Amino acid sequence: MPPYPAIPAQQWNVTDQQLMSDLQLATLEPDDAGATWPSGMWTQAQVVSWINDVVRDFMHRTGLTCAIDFITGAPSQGSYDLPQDMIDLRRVAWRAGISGTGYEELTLVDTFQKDQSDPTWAANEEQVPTGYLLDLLPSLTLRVVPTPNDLGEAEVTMTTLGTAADGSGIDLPIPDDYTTYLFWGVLAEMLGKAGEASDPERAAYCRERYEEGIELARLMVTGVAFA
Amino acid sequence: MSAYSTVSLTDFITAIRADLGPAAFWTDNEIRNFINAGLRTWSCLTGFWSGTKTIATVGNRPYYALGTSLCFGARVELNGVALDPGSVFEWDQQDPQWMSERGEPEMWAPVGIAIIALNPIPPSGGDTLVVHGTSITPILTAPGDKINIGREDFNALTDYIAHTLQFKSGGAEFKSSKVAYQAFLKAAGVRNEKLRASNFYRRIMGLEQDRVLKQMRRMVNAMAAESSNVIGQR
Repeated sequence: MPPYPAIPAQQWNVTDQQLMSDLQLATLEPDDAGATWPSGMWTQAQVVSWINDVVRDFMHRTGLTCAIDFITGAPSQGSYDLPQDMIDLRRVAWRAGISGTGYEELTLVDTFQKDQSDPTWAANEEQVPTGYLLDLLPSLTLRVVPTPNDLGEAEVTMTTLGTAADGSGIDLPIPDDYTTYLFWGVLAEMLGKAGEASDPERAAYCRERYEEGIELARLMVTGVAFA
Repeated sequence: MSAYSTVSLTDFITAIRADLGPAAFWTDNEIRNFINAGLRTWSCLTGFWSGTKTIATVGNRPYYALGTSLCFGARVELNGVALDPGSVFEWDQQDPQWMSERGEPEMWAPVGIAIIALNPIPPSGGDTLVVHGTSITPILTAPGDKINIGREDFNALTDYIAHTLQFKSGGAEFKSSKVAYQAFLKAAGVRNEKLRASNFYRRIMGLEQDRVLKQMRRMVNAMAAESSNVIGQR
């Protein structure tokens, strides 16, 4: 039982439709909040898909927003499913028992390291795991080591996609100010597309502006952005 | 908004239209959207707009969401007393059992930009947590809406916004307006020394290129000096 509520990834105030309006204006399409793209160079589905790709990339590379969630641990169970919208795992902590906030951070390890130090590690059980691993496992699976032999709970801090854009006015999972850089990132994809839409020079400019946003967001996350 | 509110949406549109030329190619709504995007970019570069958020602590709860009004917490007070900034990583390394401990919080740490953690965890709630930070950029919607930006930054902003509006023109118009982007970054750099030290700032302002060219000149000069010595020995 979690001792405090999970905190989902924040959705902010700018919507996918507002972003698509700006993209339409920048590409000489009539502005109808991204519903139609009469030039035929792009479709709404493509643009929505690029928005989600760019959001994913932005979140993965910056860790700008985090969610905190819980996974209930069971005796003799080492592997647990992670949320479907997870992009990156930032911290895993484990608490033995069924109550309290006594979570302790688990160390990220890998199977090679475990195999070298203790070839029997996979069969070992102890009351409280001390580490976790993600390699040689199916996607979105977390393995805690040693396997717990008692009830427990993992508190996970992760970067998630949040609610995916679909063109219906979904709030984007990126702070309003940084959506200006999503704009450049999506535009880079649109103008980098092969065929009639291809415009390598302007796509390169957009890519550079997008990278500027990544660098700024990283400065922000490390807490040294403004002086 | 403070007494510093000096520039209206109409002021912005008038100045940008003067830069752009033929009116028919850009609607007022379009210009307004790009003004708001420009203001947001300015905020990302400088952290210009500040705000606070007040949160009541809850017993046994280490994490607090900041909501959507603040972009980032920079300073935290508990009942009027400033807390020391730290990081959850540091706490985990220095005191792995910090989440078991209770007491009046002395430190805070960001978890991403939208959550903060307190250490020690408060045993009971009801205390007042005030988070000071960078707020979401105010958005201009009606013609008379004003924004608190000084005139000294206004020209750099309007030129930059005109540059982003030129994007759809492409070609020579867009290329020739890129200098406005450099001027905009330079104006932002005056307000943010960390920005001036960043790689992309140096790259875009040509400072990296200067450094490489200086290195090349030094190498060429050294080679020239060496070759003249060799010739002199013959």
